[in-house]
Amino acid sequence: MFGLMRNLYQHFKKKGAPRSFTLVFLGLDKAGKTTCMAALKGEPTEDASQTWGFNSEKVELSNVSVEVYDLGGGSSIRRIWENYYAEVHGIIFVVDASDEARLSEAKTAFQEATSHAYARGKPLLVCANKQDLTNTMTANDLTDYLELDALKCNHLCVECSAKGKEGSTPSESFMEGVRWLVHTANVQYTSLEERIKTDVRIEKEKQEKKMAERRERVEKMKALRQE
Amino acid sequence: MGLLSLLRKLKRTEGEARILVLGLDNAGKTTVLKKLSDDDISTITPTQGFNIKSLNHDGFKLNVWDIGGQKAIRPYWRNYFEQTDAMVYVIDSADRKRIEETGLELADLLEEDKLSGVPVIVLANKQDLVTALSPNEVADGLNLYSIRDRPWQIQACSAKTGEGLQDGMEWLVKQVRPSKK
Ligand SMILES: Nc1nc2c(ncn2[C@@H]2O[C@H](COP(=O)(O)OP(=O)(O)OP(=O)(O)O)[C@@H](O)[C@H]2O)c(=O)[nH]1
Ligand SMILES: Nc1nc2c(ncn2[C@@H]2O[C@H](COP(=O)(O)OP(=O)(O)OP(=O)(O)O)[C@@H](O)[C@H]2O)c(=O)[nH]1
Ligand SMILES: [Mg+2]
Ligand SMILES: [Mg+2]
Repeated sequence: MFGLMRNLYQHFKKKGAPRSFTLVFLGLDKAGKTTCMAALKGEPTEDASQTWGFNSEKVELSNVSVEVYDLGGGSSIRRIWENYYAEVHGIIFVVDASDEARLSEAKTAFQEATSHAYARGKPLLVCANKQDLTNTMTANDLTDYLELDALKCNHLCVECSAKGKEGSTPSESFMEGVRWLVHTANVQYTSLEERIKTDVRIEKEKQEKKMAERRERVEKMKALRQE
Repeated sequence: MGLLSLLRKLKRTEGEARILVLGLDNAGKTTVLKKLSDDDISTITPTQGFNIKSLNHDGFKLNVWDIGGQKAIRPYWRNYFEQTDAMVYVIDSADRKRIEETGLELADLLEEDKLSGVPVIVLANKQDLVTALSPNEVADGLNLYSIRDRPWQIQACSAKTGEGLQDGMEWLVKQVRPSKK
């Protein structure tokens, strides 16, 4: 793994222009996304409050600049996810491996996300999180359950704890997983960038049209109110 | 309940934070502020200028500015942008007719240089009413997912019952970077 990263770094140095990556955390509420994000930033947290929106952080991973999005996972905010797929190079899907009762809900959300036109085929890291608890699902079980091998994308499933036993350090397997994801995205960088550029442009045009229509509607309504 | 207990919990011992509360008229901004201060909320009238609530705890000072939202006074909002650490944008979640209007006002605010990068919490207020929009609908109505340059959060709440206010403020105060000033 470290050899890989050294190669990656040397590759960047040779190329000159630094590449940058965007990743997104997905997963049900309470899966541990925000806790993972804090770990990634090197500021482990005990008490992430629930996310009902969006946050982004820039981190350096083996000399590579990575921007990571953290989104809310609750069912009444989950619909925002699809608005971020177009611009990401890879997806980190976090599952609470100790919560058997919500596995099928996680699978539904997972399948919906990974089958979206803008997300399909992009490098994918699945985290079987909360391994510090008892009766957790293994990475193998989760790979089978989510039918990862049927997906046409590079994927890896790791067992991890975003919070260590002492509550502070995340497991190394999580960091390894993220490095793997960045490496995989780097290998496909050119084609990913091309796809991202196209998809982002299409989305931007859609957005602009939507906003223009809204402005028109609102102006009309305001005029009516004044009469 | 209240801002003071929140400040205690945060254990900040220095600095100052300026919080700006904006939103259309009738959204419930003044009611939110009064409820958080445990004041009476039965006799609130539309705000013509602004209200300010200052709190001190252990050397940390929190200033909350509540600005009137009537159409005629919205152009004056810009007088209050300077040095803002975090923004509370209050919406009446039951006012479906004006969701797009309030979304456009917010979009304009987010373009302001002086507010660039300022974290924003949308208080989806009046959740005690049955017609209130859900967070998914609010995110869409306000087009929140076009924001990339700052953190944002939706907090469903009711200034009438107080539900959700504390959680929302907690998120917001956490976003304020310590001793920036
Ligand atoms: N035991 C244990 N608890 C964890 C672990 N990771 C996260 N948690 C806890 O699980 C709860 C939820 O974690 P969050 O990081 O807030 O979850 P989230 O996925 O961001 O949830 P939303 O923001 O609602 O989408 C918190 O109380 C965390 O402290 C872990 O590896 N082990
Ligand atoms: N049902 C319900 N009514 C609320 C709630 N919050 C505020 N209201 C009512 O909404 C009306 C407007 O509240 P204000 O607090 O004056 O609104 P504002 O945003 O300060 O309005 P301006 O000062 O004109 O900008 C009042 O009649 C409040 O009682 C709520 O959570 N639920
Ligand atoms: Mg979260
Ligand atoms: Mg008012």
